Amino acid sequence: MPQFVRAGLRINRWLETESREAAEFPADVITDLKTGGDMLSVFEIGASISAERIAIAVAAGKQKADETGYAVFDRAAVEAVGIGITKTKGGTPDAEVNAYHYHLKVGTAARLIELAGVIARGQIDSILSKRVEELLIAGLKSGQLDEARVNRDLLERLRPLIVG
Amino acid sequence: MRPSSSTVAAAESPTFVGFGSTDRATLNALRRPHRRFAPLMSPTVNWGITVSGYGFTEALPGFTHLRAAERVSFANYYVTTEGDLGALRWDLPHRLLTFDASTFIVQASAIHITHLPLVNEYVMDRIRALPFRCNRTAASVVNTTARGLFQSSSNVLSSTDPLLAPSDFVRRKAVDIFTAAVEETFEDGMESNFSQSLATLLKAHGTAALAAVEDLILSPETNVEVAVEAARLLGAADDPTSRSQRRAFLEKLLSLPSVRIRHAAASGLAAMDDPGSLPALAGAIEREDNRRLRQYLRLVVDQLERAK
Repeated sequence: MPQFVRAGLRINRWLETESREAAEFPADVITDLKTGGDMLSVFEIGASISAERIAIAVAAGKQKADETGYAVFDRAAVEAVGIGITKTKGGTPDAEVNAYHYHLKVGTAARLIELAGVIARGQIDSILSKRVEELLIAGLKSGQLDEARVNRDLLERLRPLIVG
Repeated sequence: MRPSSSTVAAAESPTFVGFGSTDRATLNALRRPHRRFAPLMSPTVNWGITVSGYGFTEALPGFTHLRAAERVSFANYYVTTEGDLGALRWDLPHRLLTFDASTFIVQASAIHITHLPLVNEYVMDRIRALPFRCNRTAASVVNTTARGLFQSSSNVLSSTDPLLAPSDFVRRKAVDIFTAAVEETFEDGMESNFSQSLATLLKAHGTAALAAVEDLILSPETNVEVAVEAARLLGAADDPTSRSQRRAFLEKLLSLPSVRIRHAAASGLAAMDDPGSLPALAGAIEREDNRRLRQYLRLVVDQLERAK
């Protein structure tokens, strides 16, 4: 069953969503679902693309290696609430991950809240900052992450560790 | 040159605190529970006065050597003000203060200072600028003899004891930073004005700033999103001197009613990566009802186990 990943979540905001209706979620949850043009960016898990790899690809666009969270949820659940799905090219430093990028056409605030419910019913995981740093370094060393597209501040912070 | 004296009276509760010590043994005793005094190396008597929890470690080079005795006389001592005002050195008349040859703390509802006329106005301007509970109208240069005003207490070790409340000045700064942060949106991995301001405050004001930030995190009036960010930042702060205090505070937060604060505390402890927190985290897992937080706590424990 195809699954989507919404990366860059702040897990702290999602702690109190369990066993609640989406409309009753803490409002801060919406902060993690920032739309652009009424659309939300997600990635699909692929044969060689794990949720963790997607999360690290997104984390490579941040200023520092900090902990990050992500949610894995069913594509079918998204379709069930009437949200349109369009495949587009992603903008992370990981070219393979970019090929699995989608825009969810959320449209309205009500549907965004429904989507929050879908995400909350999925699996929400964290990667601690220490592990994020390790994975970023590994990605840069292996070439999985394109150095030219990694956040400049982050790269400066990691460079001594990459060389080491 | 004839010295004059100046009086600064505190209008409310005692604001000035300080400590003195007389020999290496006493300094070593101080150093154990209060590592912030590590730079105090002189075997001779150092005497300092600090304001609302400030140490005087940066004022050491000019300390006057004093004779250890039951009653001592000295020429100079330091008053450190609110940190960013810098340390001031004021000359005191002999026998202004007396103290015994053991650790003590002084608290004064007023402080009388005698100094050289050349620096009168400079010093008094600085005193008038002090942003705490001085009765500023009482700050004046007068030609009176200074009086001893200090009460000693042998059961308090240090002016930087964390039990002391942070000064109003630092607290106000912290409150301003927390208030402004409500307008920000926090994102993992991204710098914020709040993170930068908080780091600056902690660096500039050390223990006093840490105490103020801790108070604000615990305050029910603080925006939870801001409190969460502050707790996480405490864990990530690059300040070895406050490490044990920050760790103890974060461990304490693991028992708070707010699930978000408990999570932030665990996040901060993960950033500190100190296996010493494992018992506190194990206890937190036992108590935790929130499934997602329990899962997160296990993640932190796994990391700290590997760090052993």
